[in-house]
Amino acid sequence: MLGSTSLQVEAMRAFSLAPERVAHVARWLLIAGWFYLILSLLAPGFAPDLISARLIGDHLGTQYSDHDGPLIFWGLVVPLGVLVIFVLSHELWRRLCPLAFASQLFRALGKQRLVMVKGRPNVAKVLPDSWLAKNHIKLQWSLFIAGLTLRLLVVNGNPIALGLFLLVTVLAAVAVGWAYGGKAWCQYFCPMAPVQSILIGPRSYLGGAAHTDTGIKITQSMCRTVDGHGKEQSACVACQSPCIDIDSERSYWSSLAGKRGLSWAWYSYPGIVLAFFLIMQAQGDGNPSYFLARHWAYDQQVWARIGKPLAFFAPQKPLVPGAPPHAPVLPTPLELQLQDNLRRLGLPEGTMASPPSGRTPLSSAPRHGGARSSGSRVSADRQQEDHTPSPSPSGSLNAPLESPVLPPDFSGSATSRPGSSF
Amino acid sequence: MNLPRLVSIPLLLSLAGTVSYLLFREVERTMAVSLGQAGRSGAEDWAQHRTRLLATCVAVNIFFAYADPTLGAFGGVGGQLVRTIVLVTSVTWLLWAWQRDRRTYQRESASASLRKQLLPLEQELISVLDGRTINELSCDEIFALAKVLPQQRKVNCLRVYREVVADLISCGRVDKPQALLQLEELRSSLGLTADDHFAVIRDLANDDPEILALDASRLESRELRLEAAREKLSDFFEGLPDDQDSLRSLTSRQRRRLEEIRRESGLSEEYWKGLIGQYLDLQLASSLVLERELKVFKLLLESRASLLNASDGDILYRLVVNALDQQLISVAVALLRATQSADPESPFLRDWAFLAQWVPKAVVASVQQRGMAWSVPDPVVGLGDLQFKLPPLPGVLEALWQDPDPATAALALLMLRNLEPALASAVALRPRVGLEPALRLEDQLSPNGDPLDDEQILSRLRAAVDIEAAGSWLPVRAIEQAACGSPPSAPQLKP
Repeated sequence: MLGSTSLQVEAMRAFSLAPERVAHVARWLLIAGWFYLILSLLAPGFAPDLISARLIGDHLGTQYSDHDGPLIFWGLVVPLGVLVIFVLSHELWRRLCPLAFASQLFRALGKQRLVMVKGRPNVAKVLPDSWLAKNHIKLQWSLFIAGLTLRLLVVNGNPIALGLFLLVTVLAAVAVGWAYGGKAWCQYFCPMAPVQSILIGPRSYLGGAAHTDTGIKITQSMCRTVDGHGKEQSACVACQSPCIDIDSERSYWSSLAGKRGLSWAWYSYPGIVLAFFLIMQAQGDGNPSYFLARHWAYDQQVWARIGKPLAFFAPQKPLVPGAPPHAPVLPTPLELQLQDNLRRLGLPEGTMASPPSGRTPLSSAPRHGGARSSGSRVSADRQQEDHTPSPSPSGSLNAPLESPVLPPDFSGSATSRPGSSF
Repeated sequence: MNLPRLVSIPLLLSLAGTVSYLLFREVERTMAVSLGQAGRSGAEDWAQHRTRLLATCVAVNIFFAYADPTLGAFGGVGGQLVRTIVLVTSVTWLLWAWQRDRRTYQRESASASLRKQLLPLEQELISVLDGRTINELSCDEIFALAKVLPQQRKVNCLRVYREVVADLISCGRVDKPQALLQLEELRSSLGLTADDHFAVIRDLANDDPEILALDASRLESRELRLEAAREKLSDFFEGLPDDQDSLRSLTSRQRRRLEEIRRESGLSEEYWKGLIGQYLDLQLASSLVLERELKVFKLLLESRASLLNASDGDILYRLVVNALDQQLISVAVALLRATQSADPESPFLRDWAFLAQWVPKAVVASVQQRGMAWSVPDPVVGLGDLQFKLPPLPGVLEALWQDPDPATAALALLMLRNLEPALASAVALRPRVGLEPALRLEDQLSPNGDPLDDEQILSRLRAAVDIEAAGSWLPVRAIEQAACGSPPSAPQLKP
């Protein structure tokens, strides 16, 4: 992208030229992981302890689950997906996406919905003049905002809700794949599609230049299959034109004007992203740990508070006793820097629980063999576990792990706080 | 106000989105004004493009300021590393995309397509490549290289230009109505003119009537489906024994597979048959082309005769006949190509031999200049001679409204207005699908806005035509000459 040497060109083509067989295996692994996650969320008894490592610990109260699945999905998979699309290439993600893969189920079975065209059955396609073809961005963006709302209200930390959410999403992709030919799910329904368009602009950072790759028939993340001789061939049915999978830059310039809803989606996206994280912080009702220590990923009773107002501008617990409260608007690194600075100043430690030092969901949390506890109750044995923190690296943003102090009990009514609330 | 979260959360998200939208719209507006004042053409497009880039950068950096895919690993250093990578990536990406626009993309596309056409000539161009390969040349260098195409230069250049235009139009990378302007640099490199561009468009439209009718998206969709179906059919027919060369000889399992391919392809019946025909019966496919082209060719010859009959010495009819000859050239080239693989006993060949007698020498010469040998079988007199029927003159002029050359369309409309004003008004409202809008002769001949009526325009055009060279002039030449201002006179067409 940033040069024209053949080495750079080859690097940029890598995602497009990666063998389809390899991509196919990767897709199977991802979809298997997706279903494994769903199974573990909906039926924890079937999933081994690997993903119930109890990151947070038992001390948070009964409203918190012990399932790391939500954190893995929302905290790891989703940001990683965004990172891959933005820093690497949309081609990589679009060749591997498990939902896109699932949506091809009926095509693989040869059982897609057929419509009669001039007396002969043809696989149904989204027609260029149809409402869906003209307004799909609006539909997708509405689904995106609805998805974010659902996440904040119910799905964030509740394993059952997340499991159902993921299951319904897969089923929706499969249903759309039955109803329409091609990658109709990706092009017309998936809420991530406009986000991808926004993230890559004319071309992703390491994306290939399809319009100058004259020697290649199958470009970028174009649909492809492998014939009986092992040769890759196009499987494109032109479900959308121009297509982001074939030539993302052409798609970009074509949609610069006249693509209904795209300008709104593009310009509203930064605000929505910021608001999303601020709302998530505010759901902690004054407890910074809720966001910084990722308690939200375990808050399985967040749905119980949907009728309660959001204490958006309520002051946070002060970092040090007597210090003025600060509003929950700072991103994580700035919060951590603030804590670190206060500690260097030798001020007494505040009441805030800092994020675990060096602990990841799958690392230092104690594990149990034998029967697992349910999602909501805590056994007396586990309350005796040693939660001694590991030492923090010197000079890092990360504060040393304290003996965590119990946060406010969320099971009761939210404390009414001064200031605006929603 | 204590709204429950069920209401306040979607409200807040929408509100934040709205505020963000309004902010960036203001940024876009301000940028558009600023760029406009700086004299940048297409300021609004530039502003929209750049504002979108800014919105992306802001959004992605906000996202990773809060989200840490390393989950606090390594004491938060992992998260900081991710943020740094995102920041550096976004800035670099912004700088790259900031100067990019649609024209750059189209230019690169044209250059890439031209590169593809020049690759087979690499050996002939080795002396100017200075040790490099064609693939190593930059976009500018490719255009420069096209200027030195050797041997039979015009033929090579026209062929190369035709292939590039066909490639770009079928992929939807160039807008057909603006193709003349967008490919100006390419034509300049190849030493071609606007007339050559229109000739190429006629050729392409003749080979593929839908190329003008379909918009870029539909054309691309069609090409993608054809290409995918072609690959599957290649595999399918490769696996067949040699004696299975017709649909009748396929087994039921093979037919089912063929039907699956057809169903998945989404191709219309006509395309599907054409595609199958290429694999099963090449002669049949050629005969279909011959049949179609002969009808068009006969109609063109009849239209030509109709124009000459009605000219009554008016030199402008000569120009229109010349324009019609351009269409004849395209069809003749297609016919010659189809006859090469046609069944020698085909009755269409006989009809072609008959019609070819009436082709003007100038058209034959032009076809030969395109590199096609004028090989026509001897006509068989008395056997199935076609009957000529002269079409009415208004109909001929009406058909010329869809000529790729906007000057021809304008002149034809003007002449039609003289004959049948009501019909001309209706024709003027018809869109020139996939073509440049017709010229406005009043604007061409009276740039300072003085009103001109049809008679005045016709007089000026007649006066502008060089009677000696009228046999080769196209309408655009006369319009250009008239726009320079030639003395009014009405030379008569020599019989």
